[in-house]
Amino acid sequence: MDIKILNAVIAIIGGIGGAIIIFWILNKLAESLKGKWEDRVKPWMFAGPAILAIAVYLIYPAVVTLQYSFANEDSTAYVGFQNYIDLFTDDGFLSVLYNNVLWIVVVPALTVVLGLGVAVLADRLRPPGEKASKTFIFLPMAISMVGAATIWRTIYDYQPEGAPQTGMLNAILAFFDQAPVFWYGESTLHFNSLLLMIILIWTQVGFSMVLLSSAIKSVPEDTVEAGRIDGAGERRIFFNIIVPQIWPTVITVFITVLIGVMKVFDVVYVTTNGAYNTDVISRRFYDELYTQGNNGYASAIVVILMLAITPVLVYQIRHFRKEEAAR
Amino acid sequence: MINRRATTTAIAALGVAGLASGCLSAGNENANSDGSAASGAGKSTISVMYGLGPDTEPGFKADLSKFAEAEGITIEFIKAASWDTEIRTKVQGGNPPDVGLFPQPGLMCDLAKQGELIPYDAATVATNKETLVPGVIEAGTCADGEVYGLPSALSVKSVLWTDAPAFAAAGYTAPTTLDELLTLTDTIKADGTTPWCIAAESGAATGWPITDWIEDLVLRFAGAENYDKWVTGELKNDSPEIRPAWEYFEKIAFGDGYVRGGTKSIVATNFQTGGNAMFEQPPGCYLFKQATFVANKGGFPDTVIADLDTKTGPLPFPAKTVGDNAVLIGGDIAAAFNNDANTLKVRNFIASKENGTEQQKAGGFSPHTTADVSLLPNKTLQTIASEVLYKATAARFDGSDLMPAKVGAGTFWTEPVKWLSGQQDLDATLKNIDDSYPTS
Repeated sequence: MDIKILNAVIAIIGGIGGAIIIFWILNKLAESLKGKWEDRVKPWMFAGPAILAIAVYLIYPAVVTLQYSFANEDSTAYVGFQNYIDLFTDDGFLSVLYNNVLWIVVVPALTVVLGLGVAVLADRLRPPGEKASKTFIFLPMAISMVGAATIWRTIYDYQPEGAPQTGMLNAILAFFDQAPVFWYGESTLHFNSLLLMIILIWTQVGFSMVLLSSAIKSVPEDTVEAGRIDGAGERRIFFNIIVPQIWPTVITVFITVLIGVMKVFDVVYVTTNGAYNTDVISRRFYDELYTQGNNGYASAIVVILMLAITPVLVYQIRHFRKEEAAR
Repeated sequence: MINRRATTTAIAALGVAGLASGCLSAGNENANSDGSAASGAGKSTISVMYGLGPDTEPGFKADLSKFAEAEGITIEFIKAASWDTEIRTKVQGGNPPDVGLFPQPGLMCDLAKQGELIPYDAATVATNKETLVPGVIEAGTCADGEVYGLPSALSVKSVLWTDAPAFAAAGYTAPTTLDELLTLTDTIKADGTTPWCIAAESGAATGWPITDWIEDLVLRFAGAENYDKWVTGELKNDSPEIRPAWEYFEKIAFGDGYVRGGTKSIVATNFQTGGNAMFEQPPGCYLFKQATFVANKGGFPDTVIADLDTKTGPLPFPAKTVGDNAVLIGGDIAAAFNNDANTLKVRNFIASKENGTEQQKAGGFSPHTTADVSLLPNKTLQTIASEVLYKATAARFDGSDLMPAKVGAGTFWTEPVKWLSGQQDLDATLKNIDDSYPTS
């Protein structure tokens, strides 16, 4: 144990110290070049190592994953597009994709709407009330997803009929003499997926609220006032004056939550492990890699996820650049 | 200004990169030391990784520590919270433990096939074979015919739990055959009470308790030889030999009023506490099939565990025909990841009949029939050991643990869950499990 700690300390000192020395040497090297060349080479001297690090830790694994997605389950022989064909002809996987689409449609939108609602309403409270209500809504942000799922168990829990119901929903049903419902198993109209989404939304609304609230507060008062003078009602002011001015923040929140939702794993894993038709793409990936030991399917799933997320990332970067330019 | 920020970022990135590479090289050093020691020099520290629960861990550690101390070996105990995942990660990362205690022979044989494990030598196997419960050696034998794993302790799965006083008060008697068990089920239902508690919820592993049910039934309906063929995939679930086991289970699980809470509640009821309704007044059910571990803290209510011998009445899961004592067992089996002299010494000790004193005191059955039954902490367990385990004519290891992980820890868990929760019928369930067997 002591050796491990010592190792860690050496690694930290050596790593950071080494990095400083490398940059110092590279800088000196660049300075030793003459005239124009110094300016041309210098940026690469500094950016180069970072680019190299990205190549080794991000691009290389991505390329290997792409390669493995065309190989068999032990990654020993190529199988062409067979992994993709298998996945897209498997009803189970298609329903996984469908579930992910549901998550994407429901969660980011609801998170933004609820966050915006809370932000607007809290803005009208007096400062102590605003602070308190915001703190409570922000609180779940600090809870891990596994913890959140455990907390929600007190609401969704099921006990056989006749036993004391420990879950809130079933306790309410029991109060009205109704039979208990196994909520996680209610797959009609993907109701159980919706129940899981609520857990994620519960943890994310705080994030959305904080960003949107600060955006609302930075809306210039005179624009609102000008609207009032022109005779606009509250609704008109909100939709035609406030919302356009906070729109960039809305997009940022939406995309951040969207990317989080596309990768959603922990909520599903700890509650149903994908059973009862609640499976999502990340859990299926985990299942293929660790339970089934199928590198081919697992890699193919990751590639599909990567392809699905890329347009969102591109849009986000463009959006970010536009905002930077507007500043 | 912008330039300076870029520089800082670059330095920070490099710092992170440096850190990461530092960690990596440290990992490699470990792997190298493993490799060089494999010549058989005898390392002073042996790492033993296991996924034992809090009920069995202390006994295992006590026994092994005593041995290690006498031999002058230091044991580094590594507890895996999620065995399957962690052992795979360690092996893939080139950093396996020296000795691993596999709860699943299926995964063990996967790794043996990849050349990660060292088999037991013939002499050790022969010595152990004399005293081991019949069937245990076969469980640790992989496709190449070599024995890679032998158990440290066993649990007995073919146990039917009852609340002894309530069971007797209602005038019920222990069924000796599967037909009698069905009759008893009907009788209990006719008396206006619920016969069965069946519980299969286990978080991310939901469904595995059903596999124990099916295995016990296959062992009885198809016999030990066909059981082995079924495990390797030679006999399909939808074959005339195996299907009756599923149909028998269907009769109980889907029988109207047979199961507490109805069929759908099976997958929603926790496997540890799902039988506790037996001990309520009036009893929520009269029969609960679960392995012996359930008579530990976290399973049956504390008041029951404190007075196990009078409050519970464990019955052997009945045979198809009287006298045909098949028993289903589970257990953690020891395998070695390198052929270092001390690694093998530790592994061979774990599998030997000398091991297990403290384990037995904690309630873990020794796999050796020579074990002193009186060491077990209560009469209930002593009875199960002497009457069920050591009297077995054919003991078979938990089949789902022996199947390829894809089936045994995959479809065999998940498909019955779909079946019981009403998503598909028995035909689809059997077909999906059969189709999931690896073709090679």
